[in-house]
This record gives sequence, structure tokens and C-alpha cells, in this order.
Amino acid sequence: MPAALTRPGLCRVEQIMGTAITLDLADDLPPATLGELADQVFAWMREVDARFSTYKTDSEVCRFDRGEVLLSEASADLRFVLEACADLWGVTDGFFDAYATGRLDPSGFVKGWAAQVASDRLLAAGAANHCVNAGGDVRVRGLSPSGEPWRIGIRHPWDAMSTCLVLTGTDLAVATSGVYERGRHVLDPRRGAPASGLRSVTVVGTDLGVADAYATAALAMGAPGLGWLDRLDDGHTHSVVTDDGRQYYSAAIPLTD
Amino acid sequence: MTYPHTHAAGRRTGTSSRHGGRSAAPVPPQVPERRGPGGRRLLGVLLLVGLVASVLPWWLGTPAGSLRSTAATVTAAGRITGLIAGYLLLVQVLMMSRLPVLERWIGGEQMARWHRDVGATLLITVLAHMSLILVGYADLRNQSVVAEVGTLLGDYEDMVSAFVATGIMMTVGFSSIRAIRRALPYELWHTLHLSSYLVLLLGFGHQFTHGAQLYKPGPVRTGWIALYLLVVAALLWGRVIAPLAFNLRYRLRVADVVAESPDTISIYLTGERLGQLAMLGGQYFRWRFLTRGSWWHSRPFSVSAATNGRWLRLTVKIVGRHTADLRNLEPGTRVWAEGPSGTFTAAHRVRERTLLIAGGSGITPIRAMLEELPPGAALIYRASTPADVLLSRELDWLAQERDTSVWYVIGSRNDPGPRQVMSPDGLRQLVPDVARRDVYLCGPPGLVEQSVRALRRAGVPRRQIHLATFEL
Amino acid sequence: MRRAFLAITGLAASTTALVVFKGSPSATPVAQNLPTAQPVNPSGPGTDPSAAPDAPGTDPEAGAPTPSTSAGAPVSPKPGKTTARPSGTKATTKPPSAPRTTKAPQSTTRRVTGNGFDNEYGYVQVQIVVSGTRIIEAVALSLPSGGESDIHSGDVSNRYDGKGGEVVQKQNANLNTVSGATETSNSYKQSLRSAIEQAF
Repeated sequence: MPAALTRPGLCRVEQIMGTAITLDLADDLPPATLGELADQVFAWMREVDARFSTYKTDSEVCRFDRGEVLLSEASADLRFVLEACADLWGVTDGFFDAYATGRLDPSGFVKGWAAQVASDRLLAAGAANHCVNAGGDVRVRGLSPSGEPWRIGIRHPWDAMSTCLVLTGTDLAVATSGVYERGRHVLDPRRGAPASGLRSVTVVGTDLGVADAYATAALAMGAPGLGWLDRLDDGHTHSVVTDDGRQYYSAAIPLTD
Repeated sequence: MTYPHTHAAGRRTGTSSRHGGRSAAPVPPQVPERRGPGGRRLLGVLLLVGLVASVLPWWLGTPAGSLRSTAATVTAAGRITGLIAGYLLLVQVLMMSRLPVLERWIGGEQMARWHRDVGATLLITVLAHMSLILVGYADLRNQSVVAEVGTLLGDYEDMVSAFVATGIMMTVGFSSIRAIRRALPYELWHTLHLSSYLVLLLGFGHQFTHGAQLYKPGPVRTGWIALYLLVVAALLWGRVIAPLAFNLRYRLRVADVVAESPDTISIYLTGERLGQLAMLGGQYFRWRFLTRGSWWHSRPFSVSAATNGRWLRLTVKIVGRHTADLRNLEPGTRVWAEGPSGTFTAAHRVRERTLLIAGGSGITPIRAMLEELPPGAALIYRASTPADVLLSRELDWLAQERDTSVWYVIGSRNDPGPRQVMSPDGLRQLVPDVARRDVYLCGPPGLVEQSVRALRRAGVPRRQIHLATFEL
Repeated sequence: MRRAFLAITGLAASTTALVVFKGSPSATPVAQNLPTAQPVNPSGPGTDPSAAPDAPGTDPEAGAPTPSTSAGAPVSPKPGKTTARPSGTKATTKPPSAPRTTKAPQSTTRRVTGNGFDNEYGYVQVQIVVSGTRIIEAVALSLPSGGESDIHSGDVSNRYDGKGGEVVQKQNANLNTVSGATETSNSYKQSLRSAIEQAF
């Protein structure tokens, strides 16, 4: 890939957690170091998948859900995730509910959290310029390979080939939750029925796990979710597309020019 | 017992009618122009085009070769039948809208027959749509059909009402099977049938929330909604606005009630601007006599005299409690009329000459039509006893005025005389050119069935046979 | 009643005919692998893999695998799939309007479209963008969307401090990455799998 060789860093994609995980390292480090960092990131992602997948019956989450693992015996990661989910349940008025489907499913938090942890570890390892995209949940730090701040598009809900908003920044966690496909429902945990009103919710902050959970919760709230996002005063900004195709976004969201 | 060319004038004596003794038509009305089948054919073509157009969105939106699995194929068939069912439902309601244009082009009787056929087709199509979608979705989701019913009812908006609509439609369809319908009281059947408007309402939502071709904003969805609005507009126009305009214009009231025979009465109506009333002999109205006990009861009766600008007359056989109250109508009672309807008129003839066959009180539309038929018509009047012969003096007078042959065929169905006359040979003997005439039939169902059979065997083409039916 | 019977028979027959006609795979090819403009490497036009949808990876004329020289490790498109071979060098068998390639460049991006699959809401089709041996993007070309709009923007925009309320616009700009929700329906996975099978 000649063009790829002209830029510093490394870009790698793997299929984990039933989705594509993209890692873009923009630091000008030796290829061996970069490869090692990437290996560590994907190993971590696979570890999270093995522990938290609700599709694998022998994952820790499933065994815990079946009562085969006690909370006291659970891994530190699982305990952290359960605690975070409980906190988020309170902050989101119960709309982020890891038990919305009737069984434990913390996926709405885990994907973003895993990417966030990966990003934190990269920073600690000296790779301060990177982008981790875990199935649409994005954590960027530093500058992109071109030397400019990262540019993150938000997918247009009805046209997969285009974006509806472009954000830019050097330290952003961008999580999007949405129903692009009909019949794909996010359950409103209070009614047990599919939520309607919002098509796509993007939350921008600095912790991707929290942003991911907020986006999931706002989507489950339906139309009132927009007001809820608007009243958040903990530094999160948002962009929302409603079912009738209108877009709303915070005044403070980091737009490109 | 036949009386060819009996000469007599005026109405029956011994009546107390203020209008008695006058001829029904001082100046013989014009023979109306033939209307021909153009309107009916045009509408038929339009409906077929509509049917194709309703499936077209599916055709255009489905990539060729995309139906690879059984589930996809079954679901696709479910979608097609759904589109067809949605369209047929609109056709069905349109045909019952009593839109004046449709009444004029096709006529209530023909429309009632189409309504029946389309209704049966619609019911089967809806059931097919439901089963195919259920089986297809169940297969897609790898669950049982019963579980799929639960999923649809629980998770899908507007699905409960759609299921209710199907239930209503099944009830209505079931109650319209002839044998069952006869066993039901008319009012119950009618109420059941009116509930089918709910189907239009309840079935509306799920088409747009889940219809694969309709949920997306765009020309298809807009067109489908426009179709709905058109049909509802037609319904409002035909059922509300047009009758309102008619009754505000003509302001009909009962003028007199006259006994024609022990069990038959004539009701004379007057009103305003009756000279402008465009009505053909043989047509009928749905009448509501606005008295305390019977205003809610809409009854179809044909008018038994052609328009004369001064009064309308309906002649009614009193059978059972449905019509008993009519004897006691007070002059001055307001009357709400919807119509005129029907293609049982001289304008709908195919040939120049006609044969009319009446049974009992079935003479009333034929009596009115006689005034507008071209000369040379023939009338066979079947009645069980001489006392059942109605309006015979008028008939005899008209026979003379309009050069019409009238045969009274009296006796029970099994008597040799009537049997001979009502056979193919008998008909040919009486009317040698019967196969080249239009035949108008009105009377009890037994007589009509027997006559149609005999006429068909005597070589009368189907399109030349006109039946008066007042279903719905 | 006879006419009703005829009508029902006619409708049943035409419905069957319609479904059978749309179901026949011979009508038009389902998968169209279109070469795409090369954003990273403008000098190398994309090759047309023209993979047969029914026989993925069985083309005997396929060129030799070209080892990837990019810094990233090759990605296995699916766990358990070991027969993945680097592609991008297949000879074009039927280029409709695509530029004919004489020599396969070492790395090109190309787009491979998976078979379409139906679910109860409509038709799903996925396209992947492959660079060398790596999938750099997977997008749904056709997804059933829309419907169930019971929200009125008026209700939403009351007391809202943010911006917007306009109809959502499409923006295409130079991007590093895209944030979006994950597609997880079965139809999506099936179509994606078929795209991957065709690509490698």
C-alpha cells in the first residue's frame, strides 16, 4: 500500500465482538513498536469479547447471569462494568438498563468502555495520537496522520454512504446509537416495548463507555431523550436525528468549519 | 288465462286518491337514449389498471433474484396479497359509496353483484396475506407461527387493530354466505355489514407502519393515502352530501296512502321542483319515512310511475312488520330519499324491443318503465290469484297508449298454464323474437331463477337479461 | 360467485407468477462488483474481481496471491475462515464499462457487494471495501428504514437549547473515521458474509 507507507503509523482492522474494530495509530514510532501496540489493543478487545459476549454461553457475563459465578468471584472487569451500569442506570433515570431484555446484557456500555480502556492504555504506552473505532464508537486522541485534528463523521441514518455531521477534535469520545434498519429495536426498559421517536443519537464526551450508555439511554427514551440530553450538564454534547428526519445538536458540539 | 291487448283506462275504482282517475302521464315521456356499456367498460379497465398499479411498487422495489429462501418467497407473496387486499378494500368501499356517477354508469344492481364477488375475493386475499406473512416472518425469525402471532401483536404497532379488522371482515364475509344470511334477521345482518367500515379504519394503520412498500415517504405512500382520501371523499359525497342536496332540493312529503289490494298500498309523495327531478322509470330510492318509529329504517322501493312533475308514487306489498307501519303514514310526513338508483330502466336496454316479466308486486318498477319504453314491448305478468294483480287498469291503459302486449299469467307455479308459458317453448310461442329482445325481470326469487333459465335456453344472451335486485 | 372464484384463482396465479419471476436468479446478476475510484492510490485503477456469486473463490484463472506490503497485519475476515487469499489480481472476465487492467497493482481498494437478503422489513445488501487483504469498510447499500414516525418536531423543539430542527443534511467530507451504530441483523450478517466470501 504505497500511499499508506508514506504516512507514519499503522492502521489495522479486525472483526471482534461481532463488529469491525479499527485502530489507527498516527505516532511516528518504529513499525515493530506500533505492531506490538496494535497486538495489545486487539488482544484486549478479544479478551473483553470472551468475557462479555452475550452470544457465547461460556462467557463470564452469561455464567454470572445464570448464577454460576458469584459477584465475589467475578473478575475485576466484570465488577467494574456492573458497578458502572448501576451508576448509569441511576443517572439515566433507568433508561440505560443492562437488564432491559430480561437478562444481563451490558453491551451498551462494554463496547465503548473497551475502546476507552484501549485508548487509555495507548496513551500510557506513549502513543498519544490515535483513533480507536469499535463498531462505530470512536475514541480519538491527539492528531491524525496528516498532522491535523481528527475528523469524525456521524453516519447519516438513511444513507450509509454519507454522513450528517462532521466533528473534529484532539480528545473526543463519540458514541452513536441508532436504528437504521426497520424492525431493529432498542427496548424502552420501562414499557418493555420498542422505543420510537429518535433514529440516531450521538453523544460526545471524554469517556466512551459513558457516552455509549448515554446514547443508548436517549434512544430508548424516544423523543423525550432529546430534552434529557439537552439538560445534561456534565460536559457531554450531542447530535440527534429524529424519526421524521430532523437533526438537532448541541450548540457546543465540536463541529468542523 | 291470458288477456292480450285488454283495453281499459284509468286507475282502479274504489280508491280515495285525490289523484285518482288521472292518467299517470298526461304527455307521454320521451323514450330515453340508450346508455350503452361504455361507462361500465371504462370503469372495469380503470379498476384493473389500479390493481396492476397497486402491485407495481413491489415489482419495482424487489431486485430480481432476491427471493432465494422459502421465507423470502412466502413473505413476498404475503406482501403482494397485502397490496392487492388493500386495493380491493378500497374498490369494495368505493362500490358501496353510492356515488351518483357510479350509480349512473353501472347501477346499483350490477354494483351489488360486483360488491359480492369482490367481497369474496377480498376476504380470501386478506386471509392469504395474513397467513403468508405469518408463515414468512415465522420462518425468518426461526420461530413457530403461534409465537409469531405473539410477536406481531406485542411488538408491532397497529397490529392489534389489523387483526381485529380481519376478524370483522371474516364475520361480515361469513354472514353474507347466502344460507347464513337468510337465517339472520335483516337488521342484524345490516349492522354487521355496516361494521365493515371499521375495517377501513382499523386496517389503515398497519399498512403504513409496516407495509414494506408504503412506510417510506414518497410517491407510493402519497398515492396510496390519496387513494384512501378519494374513496372516503366518494363515500361522503355519495352517502351524505348528495342525499342532503337532493332532499333539501325536493323536500318530499307523504301526500296520500292508497290501498291497491288487500295487502298492497301505494304511497303518493309530493315535493318541490319535482319537474326537475331526473329519474327514469324502474329506478328505486332508499326511503326513510321520518316518523317516530321508523325514521331509522331505510327501505328500498322502486317508484311505480314515471316522473310527471307533480307527484311520485311507490307501490308496496305489506309483508310482515317491516312494512306494516307504512299503512298508517299520515299525509304530511316528511320523507328522506336517497337515489334515484338502478339500471333497471329503458336507458339500459341493448336492443330496441323488450319483454318484461313481472311477478306479484314486482310489477312496480316495470309499470314505471312501461311509460318510457319504445312501442312494441311485451309484458308477462305472473300472479298467483287475480287478487294479486296490481295496477291492472293502468297497465291496460298503458298497453293501449304505448302499443304494448300484456299477458296476465295467473295461477300457481305448478299449474299447467303458467308452466307452459314460462318454458322456453312457451316464451318463444308468445314472443317469437324473444332472443332479439331485452328482457326485464322483477319478482320473487323463484320466478326470476326459473325465468332466467328458460330465457337462456330460449337463446336470450346474458347481457340482454336485466334483473332488479335491491340487495344492500 | 363464479366470477369471484375466477378472480381468486387469477390473483393466486398472478401472485405465484410474480414471485417465481422475481425469484429466478437468471434475471440479473445479484452481486455487482464495481471498481471504485482509488482514493489513496490514484495511479492504480481498481480491478474488477467479477466473482461469481455461486462459486466464490473457485476461479481457476485467479492470479497468484500478492503478499501485502502494508504495515498492518492481514486481517482474517471471519474467525475460522482459513482459505482467505489476497485478491485484487483476478483477470476481468466481463467488464461492463470498467477500465481493463493489464497489471494488478500491489494494493488497490475495491468494492465487493454481497448477495441481498430479505427480512420482514425489506431488502438488505452489504458492500465491503477491500484494500489489499483488508476490509477497510463495510456499508449497507440497501437497508429497510423509515416508518413509525409518531413524533412531531414541534414537541421536540420546545425548550430545546441546541441547534437544528432542519431536515437532516448529507455531508461528505474528508474523514478519518465514522461514528455510527452497529448493524447486527441476521440479514446484514448474511450479506456481509457473502461479500467477504466473494472478495477472498
